[in-house]
Amino acid sequence: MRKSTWIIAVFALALILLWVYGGRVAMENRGFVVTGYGVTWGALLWYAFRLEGRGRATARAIGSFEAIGGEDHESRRVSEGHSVT
Amino acid sequence: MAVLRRAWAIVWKDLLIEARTKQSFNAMVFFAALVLFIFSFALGPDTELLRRVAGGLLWVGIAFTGILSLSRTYQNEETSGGLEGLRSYPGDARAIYLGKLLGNIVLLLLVEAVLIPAAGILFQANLWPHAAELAVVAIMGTIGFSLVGTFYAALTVNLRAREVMLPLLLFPALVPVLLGAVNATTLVLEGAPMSEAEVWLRVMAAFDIIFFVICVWIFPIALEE
Amino acid sequence: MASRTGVERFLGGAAGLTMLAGSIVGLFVVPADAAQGNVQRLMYVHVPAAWLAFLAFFVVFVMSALYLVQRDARWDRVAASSAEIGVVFTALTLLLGMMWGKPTWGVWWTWDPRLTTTAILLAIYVGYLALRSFADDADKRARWSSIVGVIGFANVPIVYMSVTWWRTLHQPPSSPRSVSPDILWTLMLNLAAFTLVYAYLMVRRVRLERLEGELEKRMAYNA
Repeated sequence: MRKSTWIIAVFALALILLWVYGGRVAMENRGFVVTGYGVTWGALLWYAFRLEGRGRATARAIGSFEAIGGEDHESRRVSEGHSVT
Repeated sequence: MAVLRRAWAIVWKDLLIEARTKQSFNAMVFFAALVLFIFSFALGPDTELLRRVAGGLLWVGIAFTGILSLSRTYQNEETSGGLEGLRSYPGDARAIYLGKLLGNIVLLLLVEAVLIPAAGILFQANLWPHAAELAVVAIMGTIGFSLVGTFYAALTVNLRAREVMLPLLLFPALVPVLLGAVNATTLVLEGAPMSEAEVWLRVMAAFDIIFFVICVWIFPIALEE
Repeated sequence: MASRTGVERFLGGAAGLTMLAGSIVGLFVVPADAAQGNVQRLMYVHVPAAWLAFLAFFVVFVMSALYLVQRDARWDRVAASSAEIGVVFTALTLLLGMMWGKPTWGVWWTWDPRLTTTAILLAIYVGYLALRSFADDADKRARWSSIVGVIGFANVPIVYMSVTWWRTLHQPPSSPRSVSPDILWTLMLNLAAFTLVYAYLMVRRVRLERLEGELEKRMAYNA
């Protein structure tokens, strides 16, 4: 399994445990507190994973340029300097 | 001084084109009237309610109408490639900004000269006793609106989806001046003494001065090749 | 993807651990607030998120100004990254504020000056990001968005002042509460955690921005 799957599983488990614990100790406003912390962790994890995914996609796209002759482009760009753009 | 002379040349050119064709003015007045009508329909025929919210409705109408003319600010140069055409004008780029700014202010004030009395009739607000105060509020609000508007219109003129981008950038930036204009207008219409509306006039004045300095200062960078 | 640097690994680990510690202390260790009860625990994530949002936008402002002076693409990459992360933190701040506001004030939303200013802030920087996504040329994108980054931030104090006047003319502002030392150090712990998260996300986001710029260059070349 991928690392992200593990992290999401642990995160979900922790949220459920927190919910159950809150019920046990009769935490008032349990819904708001658990949702609030859940949204915080959820949003930050989501963003971090999104960065990971975008990075991988971009790297793959660059790799495909390299596969169709990136070396050649690289040397041409250097020799032509800034006139390319 | 050369800057002002060049700015004046641009104002004169654009207003002359506008006076000959009336392409913006007619469309704007018609659009503004429609906006006021839609508000009246949406809020129902409750005269008391309409009179109370007249200031807000009026300025939403002005903002929507103003956006229309702002996105056409640089259309006289469109055939020569928008910003490229503007860059080809000789001298300081600031003259272009000042010229376009003044043109927008004059055009919008002319539209308001029709729109505000029309709103007074539709919303049954008695404007005549407060005409002078209203004019001050309208002028200060219009200057603030046009300052940022003319600037962001230049920034978005060559952009894909500029019709979306201009309001998206402009409206959040306009919050202080719109708040000031709406509150001052409402106070004036309620017949409150000018001293009560003064804090809002100050907000608008501060906004106008700060953004005049920033926009004039940064505009050459916005126009760069 | 390029290999991770040591700094990034360290930041990631430190951010994760302090966030965990901050949440545990905020949820279980610190006693519930006397006046507000349990729901006050949301403060330990809400307030740091808000501070980091402002810090992120301040970084956008500084980097945008630097770009306009020096025209170094590096500053633009940092500004763009900080703006995106700032938008995430701002949206989070607003969501948490609503969850805190509903049980304490009885409403999801109120036209409180800070709340309203935060919402306008979100709109300004969503506009900033939209402008970036619509500009095709890298140099122009950097220049235009830097201008928006400077003007947007310069506007924030004026927006805040005008909204404050708008509200205070209608209702008195909420009275300040004294803060107990327990609350204070828990808040500081979470603030440190959020700052580390910001630093970690920044390192990764800037690297991604560089990579995407690289791709854009190649696509333009092959077009």
